[in-house]
Amino acid sequence: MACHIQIGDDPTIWWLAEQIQPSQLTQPLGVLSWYPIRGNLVLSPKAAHVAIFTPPPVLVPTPLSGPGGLYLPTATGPSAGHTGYELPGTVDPDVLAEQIQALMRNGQSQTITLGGAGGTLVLNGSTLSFAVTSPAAIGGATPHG
Amino acid sequence: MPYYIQIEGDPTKWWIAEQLPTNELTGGQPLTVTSLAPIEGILVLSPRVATVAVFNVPAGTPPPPLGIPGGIIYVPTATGPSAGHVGYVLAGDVDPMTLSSQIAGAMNVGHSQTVALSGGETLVLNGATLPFAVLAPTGVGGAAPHG
Repeated sequence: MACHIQIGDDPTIWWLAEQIQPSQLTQPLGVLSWYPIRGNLVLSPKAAHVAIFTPPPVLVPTPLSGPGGLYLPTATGPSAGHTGYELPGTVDPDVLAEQIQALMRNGQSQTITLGGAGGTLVLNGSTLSFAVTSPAAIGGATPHG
Repeated sequence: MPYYIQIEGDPTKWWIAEQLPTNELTGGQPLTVTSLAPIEGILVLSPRVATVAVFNVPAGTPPPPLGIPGGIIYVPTATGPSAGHVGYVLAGDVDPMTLSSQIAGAMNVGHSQTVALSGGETLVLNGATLPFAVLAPTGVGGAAPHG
């Protein structure tokens, strides 16, 4: 059964593919996110607060499309055209999600090369509350089961 | 090469004068760097910051800095600074440069720092969780022209 969660001060309500339990929040957790970004949501046990909701029995809306990248907490949440940092095409979002989960576990930092115009992103695994990695745009709504 | 940084959820693009040592951004000491825009001042960055994105800009120059009404401190917001909204105005006897050192110290040890604001108000900063702060002006001679 799916669920909705809201993490820290980021206003986004994330539609997850599976139900998560409060008891799971004692270690970094990787779950599939359906909306508003379809990808891998990695949740730190250090998140200040996590609200878990039971979703209404409706179809999941169509996720935002983007070039594929990494969403990190913001005060406004993602929106069309603002789905996070663009990553180089060579980055596998599944692998990156596993790396972030490891960072959160060991409290270390990682430097990531950005795509697009270029740049560098530094993630601090000891304080990052969550991240969502996503592949390039995937169209279509996902059935809600 | 000019570049700017974005820190955690604050949308501001901070144009920085010096190259940031990305391998020293987290886990070590607070970093103090010169911000060129949108506020010309001193940016104090916590080693506990969760995310910092450093963008290289192939060409171009920083936008002109915002005018400030006197000594100010900007702390993270959801919208970033804008004309007329550049942060809290410091009490007249608070030196921004000295305060930047005090904030770096508070970040280093994870203690709180109380800041006197104009009008007798007080700002309390939590050095254990504050990701960054920007202090201005940095020059001798008081406030920069406001406009």
